Amino acid sequence: MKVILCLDDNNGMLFNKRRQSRDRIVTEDVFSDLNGQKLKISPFSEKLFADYSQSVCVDDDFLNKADENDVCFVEDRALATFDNITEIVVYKWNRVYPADFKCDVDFEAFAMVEEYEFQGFSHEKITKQIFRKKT
Amino acid sequence: MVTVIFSVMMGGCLGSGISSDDGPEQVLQSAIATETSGHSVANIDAIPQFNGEAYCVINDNIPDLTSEDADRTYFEKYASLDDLGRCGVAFACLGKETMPTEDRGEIGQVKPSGWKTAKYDYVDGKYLFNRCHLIGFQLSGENANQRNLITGTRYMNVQGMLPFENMVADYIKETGNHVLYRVTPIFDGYELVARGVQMEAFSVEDDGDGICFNVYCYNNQPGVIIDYATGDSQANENDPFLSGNETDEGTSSGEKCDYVLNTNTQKIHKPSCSSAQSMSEKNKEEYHGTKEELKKRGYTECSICNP
Repeated sequence: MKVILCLDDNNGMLFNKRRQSRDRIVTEDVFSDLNGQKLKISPFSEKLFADYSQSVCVDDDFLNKADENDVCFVEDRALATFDNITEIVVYKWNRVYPADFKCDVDFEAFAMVEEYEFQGFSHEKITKQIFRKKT
Repeated sequence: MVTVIFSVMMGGCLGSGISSDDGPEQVLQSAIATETSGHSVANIDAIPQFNGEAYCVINDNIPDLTSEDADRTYFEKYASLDDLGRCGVAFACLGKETMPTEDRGEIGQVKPSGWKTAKYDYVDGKYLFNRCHLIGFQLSGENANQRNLITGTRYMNVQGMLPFENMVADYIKETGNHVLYRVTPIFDGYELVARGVQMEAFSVEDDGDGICFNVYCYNNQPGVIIDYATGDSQANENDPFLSGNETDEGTSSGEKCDYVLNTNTQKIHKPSCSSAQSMSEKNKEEYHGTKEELKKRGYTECSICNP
């Protein structure tokens, strides 16, 4: 499966059960890459994609059910135990936020194949990185 | 008038967030008391000793704020200085309206209570104390307001308060919503330098769904002993929380090792660190040498891999 994450400079994801940040340009970018494919999300992410309700599939067990072609937007789940992740898209906020839940992905198992920066709506510079699992 | 803090113990309770393995998330319900102005404030006697984390959570992150404290319009209130010249509570309903429209100006003319100029080589930027905004400039646009500036360590300013300010600022920019925001400097008795600040925030339009926290940021500086009564300070290079002095993990500052440097963020990483793996090639530099040398160049350790 392909996983999409948003991370701060310390690989943080959440603080006090709330996402660290959001940016509508990131949301648009996520769907522009999907080409009509539904995005798999947990109930936690449902409000974030309220304007895209027809384009998401909400399921609390979405990671366990994901097959190799599914794209999962992950905010509130640990990923270290999932060995079927083939690609990771990271949107980096280039900021430090408070964090009590961090990404646990071992990036050593992945190689970065693409990286570029763009301006967000509320963030000066967002870096998009694409990682593929090393063979 | 000196702020009086009543000790109203509410029973300690340790809890956690969704997953709390690596954050400084001590949840402390006993560390609140009632202040004369009526809202709950951190009880200095119940705050845990500084343990190397820049902040701790108070009252399970529940602030003493509700949407009813705001009518969805913005305001800023700064308490008058007390008889000792100390700042009091800074309270605001922040929105795009309160954010700065101009670059920050000079603030050097303000001398907050306990202000002393002191420099240490291992402090980021060298200077121990910053004129530390209670409500950050990026949120309030308040520049040299003496009711909004305290003597704060570089560590508290950058490691403690700034991440919370960033989170609130970006939330407001993204949503256009308002955030109730209160920062209370916590003084012990008649001391001139605050022991820390309590930061509370609660987003108004979504009833705390976007922003909700209640934390205490320590006005400490690893490697420095501060006399909070006067603002005097002295070096303590044996401080276990000073980078390089860790005993159970990490390496000593003088030991030669392989590191990966981020030349943009000026962070030192272990080669195996996830951040090193994901780092942009143009910012990456492989390095063999001592952390001591890197720190002289202004580098600091990554908080994930603790090199």
